[in-house]
Amino acid sequence: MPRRFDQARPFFTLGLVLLVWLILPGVLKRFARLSFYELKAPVDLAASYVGDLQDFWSQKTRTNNELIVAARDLAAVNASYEFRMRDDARLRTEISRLEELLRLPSYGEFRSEPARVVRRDFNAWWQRIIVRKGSNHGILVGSPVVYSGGLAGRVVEVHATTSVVELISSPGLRLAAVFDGDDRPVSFQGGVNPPLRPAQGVLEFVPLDLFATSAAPRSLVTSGLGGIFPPGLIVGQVVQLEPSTDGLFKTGRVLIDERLGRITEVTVLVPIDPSVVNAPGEAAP
Amino acid sequence: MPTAFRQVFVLCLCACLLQSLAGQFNHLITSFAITLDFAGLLIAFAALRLPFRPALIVALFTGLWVDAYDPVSFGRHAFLYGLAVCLIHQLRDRLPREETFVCVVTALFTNLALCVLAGFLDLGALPDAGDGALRLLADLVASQLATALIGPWFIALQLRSLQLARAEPVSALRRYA
Repeated sequence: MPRRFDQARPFFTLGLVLLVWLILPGVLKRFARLSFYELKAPVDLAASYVGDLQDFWSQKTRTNNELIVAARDLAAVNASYEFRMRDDARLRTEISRLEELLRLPSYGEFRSEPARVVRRDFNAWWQRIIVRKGSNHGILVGSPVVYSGGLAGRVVEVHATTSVVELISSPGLRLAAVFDGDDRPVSFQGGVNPPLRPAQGVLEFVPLDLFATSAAPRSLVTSGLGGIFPPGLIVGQVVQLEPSTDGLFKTGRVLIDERLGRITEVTVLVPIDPSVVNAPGEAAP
Repeated sequence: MPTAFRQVFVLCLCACLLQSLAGQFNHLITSFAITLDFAGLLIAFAALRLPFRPALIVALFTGLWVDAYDPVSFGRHAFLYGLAVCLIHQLRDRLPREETFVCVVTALFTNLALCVLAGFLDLGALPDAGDGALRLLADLVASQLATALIGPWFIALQLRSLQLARAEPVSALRRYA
């Protein structure tokens, strides 16, 4: 065999593999991807359960006194939450009454599905988590996900026992938000993830009369427009606003809660009406 | 069972192990906003020590394993790893490729090349390319340090696993003797 061809043979083989891959039907590729995913998922699930077991055994080393103090603190927190739940029920009734009175369309209803985080996958290109609940628990693609710091993201893939959530710090997620106390929508996009610092987002189409600085930040919350994310969920703190190049609007930076970087527990808000999340994403203004 | 099949099986298992460990470690350090990537280490040993076809199969399988979780077109990493194997395979006869040091250095260069290529392909997709480039640089530096640190262990693991499976690659010296 000529030496020149012999040298090129690896590339020829790779080209042939690539050609076969390109003409392979999409269904087969999707099947292969799902197979690889389901092959890989048990490894992370097992690691997650082992982590839970470690937590359990480390908790077993606590003394009775420590447990009594923790139970006392928890009782105080529970009392506070019970009061808030009653207040919440009263406010819901009030909202329903006003919606009927003003003939406003009501916001979508959600069912809460708490889930533990199996794996956090944060890099410059995407920020995703895998949670330990999937189609077996009725999770739907597009469902909003919340955590103790506010809005966490949106479910983008659902598998049998796991779901993949794209976080608000990911460049692929855009949503319509409003400044707390203002009703004009602005466009939020995640994706500024500098090293050794909390994630940030980019804000666009901000009206010129709104101001925020790092000394006087303003809260950014979901607008409820588009129907996927319920209104009022905290997205982050706007710490910088400056006029955009066209001078018609302002652009800015949103500091996302640093707890998102060590998120361990989330709640998936599964819509009661599945048609709410059928749309590919919440439209930005 | 043919030796080549055993070689592929063992090296794929080792790659899956490293990927899983790296995933768990990245999971733990997410609050520092740093990500470690061991792409070079996953394929360097196979590319330097195995015949071309088994090495390519290891690279393609490893790439598909990585692609299964990542939101990129399925097969992208497989192609990039395959390309890296082709390039390393072309150069390996000029290198003392049975040395652990050479394997680690090859892994470092492969990591660098793959990171630069990803930067060229996707940097424009980030809302702030400046911060994105800074993050990529930090990730690359951390990944290179980690690769240099665990490289000798992982190469030894692959070699010992192949010996255990009685599928040790043919030594270059023995081949040309």
